[in-house]
Amino acid sequence: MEILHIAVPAAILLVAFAIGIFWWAVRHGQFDDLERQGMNILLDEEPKKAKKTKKPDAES
Amino acid sequence: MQSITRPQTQESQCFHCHQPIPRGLNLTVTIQDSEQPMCCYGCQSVAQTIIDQGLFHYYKFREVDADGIPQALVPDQLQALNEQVKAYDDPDIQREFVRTSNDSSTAEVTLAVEGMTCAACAWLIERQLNATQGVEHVVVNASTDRVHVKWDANQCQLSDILAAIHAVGYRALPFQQADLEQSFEKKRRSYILRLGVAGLASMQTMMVAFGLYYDDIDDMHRLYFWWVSLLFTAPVIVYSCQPFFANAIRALRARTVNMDVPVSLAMALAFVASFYATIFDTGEIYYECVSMFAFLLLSGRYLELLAKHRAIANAANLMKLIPAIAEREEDGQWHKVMVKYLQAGDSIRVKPGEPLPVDGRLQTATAWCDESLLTGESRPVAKRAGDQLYAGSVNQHSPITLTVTGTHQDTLLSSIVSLQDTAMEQKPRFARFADVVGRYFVFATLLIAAVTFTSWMFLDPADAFWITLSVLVATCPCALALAAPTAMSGAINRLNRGGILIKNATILEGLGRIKTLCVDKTGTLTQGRFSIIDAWYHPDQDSDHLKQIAHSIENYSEHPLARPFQQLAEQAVQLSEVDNLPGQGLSATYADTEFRIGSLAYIRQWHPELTSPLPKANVLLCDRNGLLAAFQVDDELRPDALAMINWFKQRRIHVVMLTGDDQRRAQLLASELGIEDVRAGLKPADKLNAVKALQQDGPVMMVGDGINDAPVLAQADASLTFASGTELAQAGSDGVILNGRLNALQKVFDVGALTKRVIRQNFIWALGYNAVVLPMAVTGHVGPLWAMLGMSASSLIVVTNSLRLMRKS
Repeated sequence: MEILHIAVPAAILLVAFAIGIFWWAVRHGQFDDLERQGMNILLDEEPKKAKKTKKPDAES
Repeated sequence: MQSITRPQTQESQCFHCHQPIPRGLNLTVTIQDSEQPMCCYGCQSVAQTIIDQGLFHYYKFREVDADGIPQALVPDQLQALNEQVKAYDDPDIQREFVRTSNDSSTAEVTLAVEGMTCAACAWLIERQLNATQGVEHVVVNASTDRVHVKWDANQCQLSDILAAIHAVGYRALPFQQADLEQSFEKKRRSYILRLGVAGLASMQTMMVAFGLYYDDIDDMHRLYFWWVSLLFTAPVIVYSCQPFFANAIRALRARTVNMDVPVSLAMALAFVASFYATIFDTGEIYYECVSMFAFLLLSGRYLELLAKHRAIANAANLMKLIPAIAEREEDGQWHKVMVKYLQAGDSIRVKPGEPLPVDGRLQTATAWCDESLLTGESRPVAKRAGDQLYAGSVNQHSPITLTVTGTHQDTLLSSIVSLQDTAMEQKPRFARFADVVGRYFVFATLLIAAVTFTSWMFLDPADAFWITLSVLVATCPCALALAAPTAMSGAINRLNRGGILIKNATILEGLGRIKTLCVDKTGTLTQGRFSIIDAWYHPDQDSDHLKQIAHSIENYSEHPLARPFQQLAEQAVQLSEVDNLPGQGLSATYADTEFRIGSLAYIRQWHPELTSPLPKANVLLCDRNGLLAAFQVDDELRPDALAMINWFKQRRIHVVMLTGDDQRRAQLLASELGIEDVRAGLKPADKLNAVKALQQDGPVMMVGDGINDAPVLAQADASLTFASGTELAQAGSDGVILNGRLNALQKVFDVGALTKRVIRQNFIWALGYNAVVLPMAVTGHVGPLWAMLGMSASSLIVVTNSLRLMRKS
């Protein structure tokens, strides 16, 4: 049962960490629009190609 | 590459907007190697822009409403808008809504976008703006229909950004941000955080509580677990539960009770008792109850807040900031100035199609003014030099100049606005069932808890505390509190997808009580513009040829009835000797034949015995030999007007037509629709009085779209207007029909009835559950944990029941 003395504080730390990340996400507007971000993965194809072709231009 | 399969269009439908394609028009855009038909040049240019930018994904992912029509984008006026937006570059105007950085190199603005319906639209706008020169950062929010843009002020102008959005078929304009909204935004974020903290904490305390259920746990570990639970629960009490405590204290200070009072009492008692137990290592702990309870309550509140926030944001989006610009004469030249700088005595010029910014006296010899928004009169009014013109009416033809007589508070328009303001204050509200029941219920709960505690103190003091706690938790009114708001937000969501925006959700509950429906005529029952309703062509003649001649002659006319003819044919023929006789008609010669087009009286000058084959024809075409064609030109009825009126009659709702138009025309239309109660020739104040009188017999619903309807819309118990209606009308009404169809009214009633039913069910469930569990809790048969789980299950059932409303019918 001694493991509890390590596992439980570890859990506490993890939760504190999670709350910290959550706080950051809320502050940065990650939860402002939950409707459309789910669609983004479906829509991103074209611009990526565009970027790829642009990049070499910028470097040369 | 995939081919575009969704949405499937029929041959005769515009690929972009799904409107029918006018006959004889052949416009196409090549989309992924196949020619797609377009209904107008507007759609063609929008579709072309979308394809040119490589954004054809839009057509794949856009959402289509129940009737297969994308709910957007008939880009009629977008072209005109592009010129208008130039005015937004004026620094004076920008000060109101643009935030600039200190060195004024970058600027930021939030715009409201019309016509955005799904994630595909948001994506399209974001891509389009990212490709615009000078734009640094774009965020499109699909749930509030807003675009936030940050741009380099040296590289581009605000008008470029607006024009870029218009180019893909949306209308974006700055809007009047409601003060309420900002505080809502803050509140919403804080609620998410509180919810997150409570959620994580309750998971942890439940886990620990699980360990405590084992009987063979030794005392040292038990106490260790108690302290861990305390550590997790403390932030919940201190941070997450704040809104409940604050609300409860506010209610108690005002010497009343609300739902937060028993909730706060239960949580505070449970926490203090557990805290005491932990410090002195005695008694029981209830940490897991406290944090779970807080989490569930907060999620209910959060859902309610979201629905409210959305409604407020949508309402704010409708309040567009349109810079009022006028052209004023200064030293013989025309200069653009803001309307607020205009003074009485100035000379201003108004282009055709533009609304008059102020009241004034006409300088030009003649003018046609559409005053339908102010008066309801459907036909444009002829004005002569020296006549009074009113702000808000629309100049129909050729530029006019006028002398300003009244600005701001002195215009006819602003007197209507103040009428609306007073009506708004007097508007009767539907009593909310939840508020009434809730108050009694909370009182009863507190009373029962107190009685329980005292009784058990006499019977068995050791058990008194936890039993009282069970009573408080088990009878927690949160299922009751969730019953109405969740149903409303479900209904709002459903209507929103159906193209109806509800600003004031309380009307949904009260629709079943409506006794009278008042409808405006021009623009509500009718389309608000003239079109050729019926036509007759001489059987021996080629009708296309006759159309072409009518079209060509009417091109020379500025009369409002000539308008629809200007779209009758594609190409005009070469005419000679065109003569325009105002008030009668036109004559012209084509291929050595004399033609006349105009009123019956004018035609009879040639053919005195003539009678029209169309009884209602008001425009006729003839040559020397006889009548060639007859046309009935009128303000066309909306296609679903008759079905709508009949639907209401079946439900025994009294239908009244309130119009500013003259008695004869109103009567004609009313008999066609079967409306018996017609009140014509009304001024805005008369309309208001009529509605007030009708309200004596029961709640009244109003549907209208004009400025003259605005006060009535505010006064009626429930009111709807059209998105194409005036902003003033939108400001005063409870809902806006975005898809421009009258059958939306039936939808609102249906959903309203459904909402009411769901709310009833929710109440019956919540009260029934409490009735069963209360005796058990009072007699000490339910522990706090079970009470909490039962309460949560009850709330969950209520929410799930409400979510049924969101499903498509």
